[in-house]
Amino acid sequence: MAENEVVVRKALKSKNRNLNPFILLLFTILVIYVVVFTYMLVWAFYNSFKPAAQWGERQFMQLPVYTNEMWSVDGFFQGIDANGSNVTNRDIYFKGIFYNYTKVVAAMPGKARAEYYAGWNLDVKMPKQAYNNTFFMIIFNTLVYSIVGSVIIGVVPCVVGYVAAKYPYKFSTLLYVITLFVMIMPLVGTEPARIKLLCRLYLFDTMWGDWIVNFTFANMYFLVFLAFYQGVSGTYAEAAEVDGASQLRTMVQIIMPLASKMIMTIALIFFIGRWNNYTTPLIYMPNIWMISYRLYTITTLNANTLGDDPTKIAAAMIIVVPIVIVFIFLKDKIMGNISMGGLKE
Amino acid sequence: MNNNTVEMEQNNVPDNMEQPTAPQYNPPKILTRKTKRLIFYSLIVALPFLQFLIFYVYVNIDSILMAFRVTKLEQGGYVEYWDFTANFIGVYDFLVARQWKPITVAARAYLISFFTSGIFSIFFSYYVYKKFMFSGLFKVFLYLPSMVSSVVLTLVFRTICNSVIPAMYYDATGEVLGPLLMTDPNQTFTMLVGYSIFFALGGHILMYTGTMGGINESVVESAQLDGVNPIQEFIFITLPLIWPTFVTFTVTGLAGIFTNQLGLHTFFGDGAPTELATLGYELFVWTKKGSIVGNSSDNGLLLSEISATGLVIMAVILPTAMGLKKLLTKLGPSVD
Repeated sequence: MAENEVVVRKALKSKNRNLNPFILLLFTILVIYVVVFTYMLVWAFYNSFKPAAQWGERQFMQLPVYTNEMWSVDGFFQGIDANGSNVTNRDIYFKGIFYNYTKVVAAMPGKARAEYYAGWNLDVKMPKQAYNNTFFMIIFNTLVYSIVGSVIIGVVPCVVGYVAAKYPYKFSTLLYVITLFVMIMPLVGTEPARIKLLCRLYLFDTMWGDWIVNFTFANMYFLVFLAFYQGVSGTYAEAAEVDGASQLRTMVQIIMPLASKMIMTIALIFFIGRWNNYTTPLIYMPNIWMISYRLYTITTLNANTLGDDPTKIAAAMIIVVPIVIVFIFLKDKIMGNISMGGLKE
Repeated sequence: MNNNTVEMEQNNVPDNMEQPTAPQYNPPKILTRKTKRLIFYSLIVALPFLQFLIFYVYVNIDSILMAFRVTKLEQGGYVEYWDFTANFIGVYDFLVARQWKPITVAARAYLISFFTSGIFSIFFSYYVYKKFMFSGLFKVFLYLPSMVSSVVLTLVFRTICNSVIPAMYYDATGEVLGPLLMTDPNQTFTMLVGYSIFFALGGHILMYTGTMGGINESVVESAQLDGVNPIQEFIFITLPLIWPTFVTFTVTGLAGIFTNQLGLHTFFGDGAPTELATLGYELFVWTKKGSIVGNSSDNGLLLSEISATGLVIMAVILPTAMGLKKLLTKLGPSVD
């Protein structure tokens, strides 16, 4: 009987794999998609190393060429430094291949001075002092913004989801209803009111403001954790309590580790999203520069800052390379745990 | 006193002798288990709930109130007044001045994207779900654009459209072709929609494949025993079973008509061609500028007018979304 079943399953699978024109059409489109997308990234990558002179000659499809003349004092790089000062041949050599990148790094620092109404006092515009964003400050800001924010987004729904699942008060039902309402309600145009509130609380243009705004349970992940903890037996917590563990200790040491993979996955997805995001800092933290926000401003808003196209592409690569590396190593974690309406272990 | 001493003393006591026991002191339980649980629950829930009250309830109420208030610069400084129509009139004037293009352009882009990338993402999800050739590779590549910053994708796409393609065209034909994303608005619109379709092909793929993965295997197998081919399986089994997911995405995505920027801000910054500016783009740009006073119909949207716009959009979307949900559920394929 079991053997017959295996044979039937194999036959069905092989039949299923018989390609028909529709599947072949999808296959063809997908192959074209993959080729175009890969080529775009590879093309961008090697052009980010290309000297501007080669770009000017419309050699877009060719790999960058570094001739001996380019390293000599009579060559293209003669006397050019990222800061515009004179350099020796040795400096030119070492900066040669990564020259575009050094130009980007040199262009990133700056003084931010976007004005806003602190305390929503319309008569006084802040800041009076310009923020000085060095390159390392930009990297530091990006990491803090991405890591802390993604941890908050992962942990808050998890904790609230746990208590809503295991503490059967009527308020837990209210939390569930609130979340459904927030998810269903299409809200548009509320940013001015949020900006106004953040200004009033003196949280506008601060990292704290962003963290507090994201300290929310009312999102899809609350429902995911709620469903998860409803499926977890109550005996874990009861056993811990019998052994004398406090409620907090039970939650932190017994219950939360059960969902650690889910928390990690959510945090990872949001880390990448926040690393790439330039719009939120642009609106809510205009004077705290992040890498994506800053590179957006020097490649698009103030497009003349970097000048030639290969340098702009190098700026793009600075954002994308770390994320692609993270994605390559953790793609199973990022892609494997999401199912209908949420995550699965 | 160390442990050994205690042990010796205990060993010296004869077994038959009753040991005097000190009266045990049981401290009165100040907090019962029930109370402890309630306190813990309250402490855990308090902050997130407070956050909800402030940053959702208060913000939304204030947003509604802002729609009915105007700010004027007078001699003593800025003064706020109640005005129940001014902001709505301002929005209307703005849209009339822009010949309603922020809405018509956004609706066109939404419909084109819906009938292309929206539909194809289901097909591709089915392809991945059925594990046809290279499905694992395709899944990764379809998902990859959502991992890459839009700043990067638009920059590369813009460079190819404005520099590479015109140069290649010139080399091939000897004729000059201007930058594809700068000159003709229609051409720019086509390129922008093409961009959004291309990078949205993998949209929702994880959700769709996850839902498809939940389909009972015995249903599929019995259909296959009856001789269905992949297309029939898709139409008669997969599509009806994922239809609720499709309806949910479609209904919740309806607000996208009014919020979709079409990548304009990432492509052009604040200087997108006015013929192509969607309402989502206008809302974003004017929120960023944060104007409080001024003549909106000439210059743009004030913050209070953005709130008014949001209110109007909500009034339009809520019934539309509910109607659409009913319609799609009624017209959708039957699971039977």
